[in-house]
Amino acid sequence: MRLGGLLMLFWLAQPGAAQHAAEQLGVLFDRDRPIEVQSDELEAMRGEGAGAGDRVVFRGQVVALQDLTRLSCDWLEARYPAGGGAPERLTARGHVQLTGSASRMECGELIYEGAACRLTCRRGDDPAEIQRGDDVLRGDEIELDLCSDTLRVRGGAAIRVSPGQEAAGDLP
Amino acid sequence: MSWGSLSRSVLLAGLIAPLLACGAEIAGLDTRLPTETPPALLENVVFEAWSGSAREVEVRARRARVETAERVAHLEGVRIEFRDAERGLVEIRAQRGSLDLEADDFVLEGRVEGRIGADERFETSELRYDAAQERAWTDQPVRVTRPSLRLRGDGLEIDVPARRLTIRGNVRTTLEGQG
Repeated sequence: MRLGGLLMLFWLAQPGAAQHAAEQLGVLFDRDRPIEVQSDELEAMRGEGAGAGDRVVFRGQVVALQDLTRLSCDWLEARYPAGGGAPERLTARGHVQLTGSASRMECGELIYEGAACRLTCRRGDDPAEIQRGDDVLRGDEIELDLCSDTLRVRGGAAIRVSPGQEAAGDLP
Repeated sequence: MSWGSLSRSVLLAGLIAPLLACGAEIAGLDTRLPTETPPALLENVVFEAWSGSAREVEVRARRARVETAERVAHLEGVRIEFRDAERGLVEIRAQRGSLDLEADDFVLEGRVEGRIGADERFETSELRYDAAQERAWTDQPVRVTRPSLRLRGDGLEIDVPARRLTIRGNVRTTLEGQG
């Protein structure tokens, strides 16, 4: 099984300024440094048929860790393009928590789409939520455009910005 | 990987056949071999499986003890080689092994080390293969390494037809950085 592309697994950001919004959330993994992933099980499947890429699935108590950045979930899938390379789509499901040095993102499902340059946090039993300090953003779906540096909340949008916090710009 | 024709074409066939050809009686003299047929002991043996003019699999052993009654070859100093269409040469070495000459199943034990293509390695202390199900597995700790990637777990399963690798139990994946 070709697992080498896993190296790109959690590199959610595009290079350059496009990763600005994600950097602001403080939840990025550094591509230059090692990432440790723990799970109960790992399954790697070769793509079948023309145009089908490989899949890697981590199951059970999944934790990806790099210094203060931590992703935890019940299930994590990476889909690779047919020619290999970085994952084109990452999906984390079940009690998804992405925490950085000062931020936390909680979702029922978290999807990264490389070609679309998009990170989508969907609600599970609870609303999708991004927290930075005392500032909180909630909704049914929070979509972060990593290329245009914009954030969109759909359904039940709610924002709480605590006075005295450093600029509301803490949230992109 | 097809092990289907392995036992049909093993070079040992010529040795096994006479040993099994028992039961003839000549002039009242019972020439039947004892029920416990003695094993065949061989050194530097090569088992080969061919598909048409292409060699599918080669199994080399420094020593082999063929239990003719059980149709099992116990091997020492084992090296298995076959070619994967996508990934190139696959080579597995083990200190010991048992090859079921009927079913083509095998068990490799001791220090089992594999090399897949140019840059992937795996290591465990036991590897089993079920030819009928085309499934390889181990319940022993396993390590897989590739450039920029290290994997370890408490066991492994490879479903050949489904092209699926599963690592189970306390899986630790290290993705090396580029820095």
